[in-house]
Amino acid sequence: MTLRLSDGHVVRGGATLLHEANITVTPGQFVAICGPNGAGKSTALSLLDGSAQPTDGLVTLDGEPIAKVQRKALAQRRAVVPQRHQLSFPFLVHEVVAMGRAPHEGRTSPAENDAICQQAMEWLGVTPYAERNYLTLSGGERQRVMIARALAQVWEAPAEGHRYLLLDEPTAALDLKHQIALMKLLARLANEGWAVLAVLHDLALVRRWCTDVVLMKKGTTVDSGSPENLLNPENVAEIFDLDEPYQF
Amino acid sequence: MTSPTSPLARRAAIGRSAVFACGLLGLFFALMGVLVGPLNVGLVDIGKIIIGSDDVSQVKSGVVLNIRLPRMLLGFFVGASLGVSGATMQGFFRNPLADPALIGVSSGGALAAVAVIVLGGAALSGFTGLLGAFAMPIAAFVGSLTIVTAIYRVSMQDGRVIVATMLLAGVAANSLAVSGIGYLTFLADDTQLRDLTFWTLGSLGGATWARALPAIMLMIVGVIGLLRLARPLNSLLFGEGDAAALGTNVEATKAQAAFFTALSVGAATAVCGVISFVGLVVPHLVRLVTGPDHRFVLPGSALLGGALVLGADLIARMAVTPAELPLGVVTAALGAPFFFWLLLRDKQRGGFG
Repeated sequence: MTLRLSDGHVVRGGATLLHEANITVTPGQFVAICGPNGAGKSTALSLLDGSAQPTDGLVTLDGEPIAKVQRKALAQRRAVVPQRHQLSFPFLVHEVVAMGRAPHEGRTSPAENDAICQQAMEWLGVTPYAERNYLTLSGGERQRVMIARALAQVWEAPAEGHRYLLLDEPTAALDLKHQIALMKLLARLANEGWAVLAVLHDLALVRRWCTDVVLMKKGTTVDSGSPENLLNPENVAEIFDLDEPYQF
Repeated sequence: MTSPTSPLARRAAIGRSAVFACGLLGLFFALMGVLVGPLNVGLVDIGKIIIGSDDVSQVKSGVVLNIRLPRMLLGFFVGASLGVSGATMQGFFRNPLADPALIGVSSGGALAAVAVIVLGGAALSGFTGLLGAFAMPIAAFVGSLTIVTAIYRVSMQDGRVIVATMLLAGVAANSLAVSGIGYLTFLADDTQLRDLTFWTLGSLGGATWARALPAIMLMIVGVIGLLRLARPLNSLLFGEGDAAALGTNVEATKAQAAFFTALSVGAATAVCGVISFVGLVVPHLVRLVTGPDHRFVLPGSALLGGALVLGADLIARMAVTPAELPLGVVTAALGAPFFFWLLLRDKQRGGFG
């Protein structure tokens, strides 16, 4: 009942990017991965979303090695929102969101897919742009459209396993209002039984909304637990190499 | 069914209508291709030829069946191949400037085909002996595939296509092919030279059933192979990482896109030389109406590509009668200004992403 990275090691071109990394996310949890730049957060996320293989160690999805899960079955229960988006063709916003339903092609009816996309757009507040060209949107608007696409992708609880939503710095392009709205939404999804895992930089947001936090430094996971316990002034100073305790 | 008011259904209805319109245009020019020429052939004559009536002159039916029909079919499939390949390349490279001729895929095919013409009797005699009429299109396919693969390898970095590198690698590939063709031309004898002249400019002239049929068969396989890739190509537009996360088999899609593009472009180039800009212009025109969804862009580009090449061939045949302009001259004259317009438009938008 979990997405788990056990003792992950990644070595690329002779450099160790990740070693002895352990991360677990369970349905009901909203887990944040925090740590300084270059700590291996994105590398760990790429192992967990199945896009990269660890040099050593294991990633399991609901008990099964993720490399063994069928491509389509994986896409039906795990959605990924990357840090940067590459789309440079003028799809309309509702077409972008509808792309999230691609793994369900033939499984759900067009009307069902349509209703799901409408709802996902509603939740991210992008319904007013539904008919606009994605390329004319601002960075923050694009980000919310891409998150709506990911929600549409893992909208319904699968027959087997759970819904996993993985996001790499999802709040980076958002203004304060939308950062809060997104954190609220992700916390609510976790509460409803989704498993949410996000790389996040804003510790105040993490403390307020996340159920769990994994602290990373120099290519490994150093600690994990509840944000209230872990994100104290001394610990944060230690993780981020600050000269003095961090005042929230 | 989706309600007709849903935005997706509306967009799909527009897409289907656009593909249908492209089909009508293709049909119109196909008919013109058979009707128009120095010898006056009317619709009634075509009807009579189709039902096998004796009430039509031998000359007319001979001209239609043995000269205009193979040329028309060849033109249509060459245009369809170039249109659908251009649309695929643009999706594959996630860039609207990718065009089989521009990035050297066509000239790679041309070089290989020229090699067969010049060396077919000597160094490559085993190859031509084995494949017969298929030797040229298959050699061109190999040439095109080599270039697609090389350009892709060179221009990819960390899962992203570097646009400038892609275009410059295309310039390099084109130069290399031109130099190779130049060298082979130097080696060629007089008969071979006549065969070679049309390579540089592209032409549908001299299309006979014997030359056209093998290429048409390969082009049909290539075009159908590409039309099947609409959905995975859509997801590839989001980047390879996103496509994989959406459950697309990225490597298989790329391999098939490269294979079938090289097959159709190679076969097209083998019979009528390098015809530029069709693969660039046609998908853009279709996309202006349908949006970037490959389920409409691919079939629309195939049909409009066929229509455009047949239309350009009409101009090529009629402009300087009784002589004939090379087809590539006409498509370049139409396409190059369009390319400039694209560059200007995207400059105003802040350049290519």
